[in-house]
Parts: sequence; C-alpha cells; structure tokens
Amino acid sequence: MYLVLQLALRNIWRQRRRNGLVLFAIVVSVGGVFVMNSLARGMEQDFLRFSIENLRGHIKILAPNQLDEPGLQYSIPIDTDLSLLARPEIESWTPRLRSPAVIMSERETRGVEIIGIDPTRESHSFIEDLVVEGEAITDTDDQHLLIGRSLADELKTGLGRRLVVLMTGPDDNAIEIGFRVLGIFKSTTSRYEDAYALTGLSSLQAITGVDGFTDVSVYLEDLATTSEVQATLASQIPELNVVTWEQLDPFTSEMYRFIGFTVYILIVVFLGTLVFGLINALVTAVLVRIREFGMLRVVGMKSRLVVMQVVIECVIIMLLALAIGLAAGLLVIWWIGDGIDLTAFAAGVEAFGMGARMAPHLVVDDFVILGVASVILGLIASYFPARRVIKASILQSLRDG
Amino acid sequence: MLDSPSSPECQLTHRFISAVCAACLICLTGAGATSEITAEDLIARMIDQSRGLSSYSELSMTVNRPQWQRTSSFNVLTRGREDALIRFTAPAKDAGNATLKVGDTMWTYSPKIRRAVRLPKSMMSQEWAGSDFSYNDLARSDKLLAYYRHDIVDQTEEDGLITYTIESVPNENAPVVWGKERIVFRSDNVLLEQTFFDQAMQPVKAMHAFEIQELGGRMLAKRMRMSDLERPDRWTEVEYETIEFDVAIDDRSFTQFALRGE
Repeated sequence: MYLVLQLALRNIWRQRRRNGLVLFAIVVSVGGVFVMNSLARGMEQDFLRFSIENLRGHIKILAPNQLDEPGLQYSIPIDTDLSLLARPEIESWTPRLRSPAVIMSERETRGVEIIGIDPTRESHSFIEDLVVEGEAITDTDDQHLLIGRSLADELKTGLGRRLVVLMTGPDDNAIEIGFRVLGIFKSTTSRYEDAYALTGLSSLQAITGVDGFTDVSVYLEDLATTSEVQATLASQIPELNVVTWEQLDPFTSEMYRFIGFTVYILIVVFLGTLVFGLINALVTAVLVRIREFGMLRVVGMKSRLVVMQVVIECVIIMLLALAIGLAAGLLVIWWIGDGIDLTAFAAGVEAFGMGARMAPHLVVDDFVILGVASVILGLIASYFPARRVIKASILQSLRDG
Repeated sequence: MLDSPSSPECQLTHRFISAVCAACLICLTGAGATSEITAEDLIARMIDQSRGLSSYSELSMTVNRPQWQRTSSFNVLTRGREDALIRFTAPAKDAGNATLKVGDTMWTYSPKIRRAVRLPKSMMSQEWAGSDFSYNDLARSDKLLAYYRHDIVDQTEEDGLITYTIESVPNENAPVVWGKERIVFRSDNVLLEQTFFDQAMQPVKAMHAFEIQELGGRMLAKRMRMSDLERPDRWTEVEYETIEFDVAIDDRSFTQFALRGE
C-alpha cells in the first residue's frame, strides 16, 4: 500500500507538466465556484436580511384584515396578552402602529407610511442602523417626526420644519396634523428613506385615537424554526393573524429559494465540466502509460493495485487542487472584503431586493458538498481509464505501448 | 339686492349698533377700557363675510406661464362659505368641467370621462384647473381661526378706512405647512392681500386684490391675482365679469347631479 502511494507520488512528479495543467484547471474552477458560490450566498442573505429588517420580522402578528386593508381601521388592542411571546426561540419582538399617509410640505406632497415605534424594542429592523442627523426617536412619547434624507430633499424641507400628515383614522375619519421634523436619517438604501416617517408609538396612538397596534414583528433566534413557531403562535392566538415573512413577502421568499437552488446548479455544472475534463486528461495519461502498466504487471503487480495507483494519483491531485483552489478563493473573497460596490446600479439592484453592496457569505455546508463530491468524482473519473489498462492483456500492453 | 352685512346702508346701521353696544360695554365695565379691535375679530369678520350669503358670478381666469397664457371662463354658484359649484364655460376644450364643494368635501367632474371624482384630502394642496390656486385656496375653511395665532402688525388709515396688516402664525401642531400668512384686510371687509410664507419665512405665493369697487352691491375686488413668488411669470388672475348676491338657490344645486350638469 505504502509502495503504491510512493509510486503514485513519483508518477505525479514525473509528469510534472501534464499534472500541473490538470491541477491548475481544477484550482481555477474550484476557486471560481468558491467565489461565485459565496457571492450567491451573500445575495441570498441580502434578500433575507432586507425582507426581515424591512419592518417585517421572521413572523408577524397582524390585526385581522390588516393584510387586505392596511391602515388604522383594524388594530390589535393594547391590552392583548403578549406574554406568550416569551419563548426561547424568540429573540425579541416589537409592536408598531403603521398607517399609510400623505405628507406635505410648503412645496411638495408625497405618500409615505407613518410608523409609531417603541425605540427600546427596535433592535432588529433597519431602524437600529440608521444614521440620524438631529434627534432620533428615543421614547414612545416622542412627538416629532424622523424622516429619510431623500424624502426630506423631495419635500424640500429640513430639520425643525413642520410637515402636515394626513391619514385615515380608525373610523374612516380624516386625521390631519402638523409634525415637526427633528430628525433626518440616512440609511443604506434610499427605499427606507423614501418610504417611512417615524414617530413615537404612544404619541401616534394618542393622535390617531387607536388604542393598540397594527402589528407585532417577531424576531427569531434561528430562521429554521419559523414555521414551527408560527404554527404554535397561530394556535395560541387564533383571533389574530400570524404570518411568516415568506407569506408576507412571496417575491423575496421565492428569490431566496431560487438562489439556494442556483448554488446547487452551479456546483453540478462545475462538477460536470470537471469530471469530463478529468476523464479526458486521465484517459490520455493512462493510454500513454500502457506499456508502463504492462511492465508493472509483468513484474507481478496485481491489477487491483495498478488501478489503485491511478486512482490515488488522481485523488492526490484532486485534494491538492481543492486545497489550493479554496485558498485562492478565500484570498479573492478577502480581497473583495465588504463586497462589490454596486452603487452605480443602486436603483436597479434595489428594485430587485438587494443592497448596493454585494458581499460574499460563506456557507460551510456548500464546501463540504463541493469537496466530497469532487473527490468522489475524481475516484470515478480515474477508475474507468485505469480499468481499460488492466482489461488489455499484458502482452498486448507491452507490444502496443 | 337684500341687505347684506356690508352693503353701504347696512354698514351704517351696523356701525351705529356696534358703537352703541361698545358704549354700553364701556359704561358697564366702568371706565378706561377702549374697544380695541383684535386680530381674531378681523379674521372672524373676514371669514364671516360670506356666511349665509348666496351668490352667482361669472368670472374669467387668466393663467400666465413663461411660455404661454391662457384665458378661460367659468361661473360660480355659492351658498354660504360651505357650498360652491364652479363650472367652466370656455374655452370649448374645458367647457363642462366642474368642481363641487360641499362643506369640506370636493368633487371634480369631467364631461370627457363622464365621472365625478371625489378629491381625497391629499389632493387638496394640488393646483386647481392648472392655475396657481390650490384646491385648498378654494376650500378656505375655518382653519385660520382654529389653528393660527393672529397679530395686527400694522394699521393705516386712509379716507376713513383702516387697513390692517395681520400676521397669522400657525400653532405648533397645526395641520398647516406655512410658516406664516400675512393678511391685509380693510375695515370695509375687503381682503387686499394674502401672502403665504414658508417656514424659513420666505414668501412663497401671494394673492393681491385690484380694482376694489362696488360689485353687486358690495365692496369687492374685481380682480384677484395669485402669484408664485419663487417663479416670476407664473400667476393666475381671476376677474369678476358679473356678480349677483342673494340669488334664489335650488336645494339640488349642490348635489352630484348638479355637478354633472344634469
């Protein structure tokens, strides 16, 4: 056995140029797949994060009818017992009062969503990461408005100015109120800046006369428990509507699945190309060495060992290439760092549900699959050419070779 | 013409009665207190002018833009301050377009689509019929009394008429986008000027009255011009051709049937 290994290594070294080329081909493709894969995974994470942090949460508890008719008409009463949310799977939850609204300045009018938040509980939405100029919302009683930079620019307004907000109240009544803008936020994407106007939860409740929330966002420790927790909550509070982020955002959820699937397609394509390339290279290599193998068999080496020698050569090259390829891929990812800057295409990629940076994300499982599958394919790819050698008779091998 | 509060004869009696009342009040409260007119009183008077009054008028409107100018004609039927029906009569392209206001609610009607559309509140700050007037300017409700603090900042007297300049600043949470409004109001109940300031106190748009004269038995500005102060060359002028007060009004004049011209 040791002898076979030694022979294999020597043979690899003997055919430096040919094996080097095979190695190089595998390194490049492994490295490429590694980088592509982590970028695709990064995109997938992006989709997920955007969907969750966009005031959705993994699970959302909504007042009935709220999905059909968003607004203040339907709400979750403030005295609803939410103690059932104290579960180990649930990391945090936050109530909000949201309403579509029209916001007006001296010069412009825009449609936004006004949201009353409890800032102490907003630890998992985009609100946490906002860069605020002026005053943030720090208390549920805060009466001022926090709007996005791009909305402020569109409305031609600024810090300290008053904006008029129009909404439809719980009884279909028109609510019209002036708010002072004391904070302007910048966020990673302009879609938050355009879409939301934030204020304190209690103060918005007081203004609108809604004694409750329109929804409660629930954030989980582990994404995988989503449907399980959703089912439990739904059975515990049948009077409210408990939905998962996938139900709320089918587009993103489909994209998320699609990318997950694409990663595997990518791996299959890679392995397919690799395996044909390998077989091609190995068949040639083996055919060239027919006489050599014949000679080995003449001196008494068992056919099994001859095959094993070829297979071991191939696996060694494969493992080496995997290691170098992964290292090269890591290097590229390290070089990409925070991500590829897509700011130039920001509007386009945002419409698609992505951020302006395309950041790689490593998923260990994918690489275990990639590694194991490559080695198995290496075994298969080398076994058949080697079989050809031992099928021929020794004499013929010696004569033809 | 029936007596309206500001027809000349009536005004005399009105003033006389006010004077008597004031005198009584001074007597009652003892001495010293002069009957100072407050800005709130003036605003209330301005708003109350048309209360309970019906009118029918024909007007022409000129919209001026840097590239073009357009004149159209319309007639207006009003009942109090609450209800109004405006219908365009010319040019042919716009004839039949109508706006109905009942209380705080407005509808528009276009004969081309044969539909009456109720205007959402959110549209009220948009311009009306392509002019510099917003729907809000047309609807002009009690907002001035409810949400502003008023101060008389200037007062001049000419030919026995006092011209008050009032500055109206909205309250903290008022649903008002303006930083302040400046209203110039004459003691014979004619609104001479109204200027809207943004919150940096820069004037944004202003309405001026011209050719103040007796029309239909009341002192009125024959022409009113709303100008966009930030973009000169953009203004809209409305001119009364005829106006008649206290006309008989059918109850169905302010319905959606009437809006459609049926």
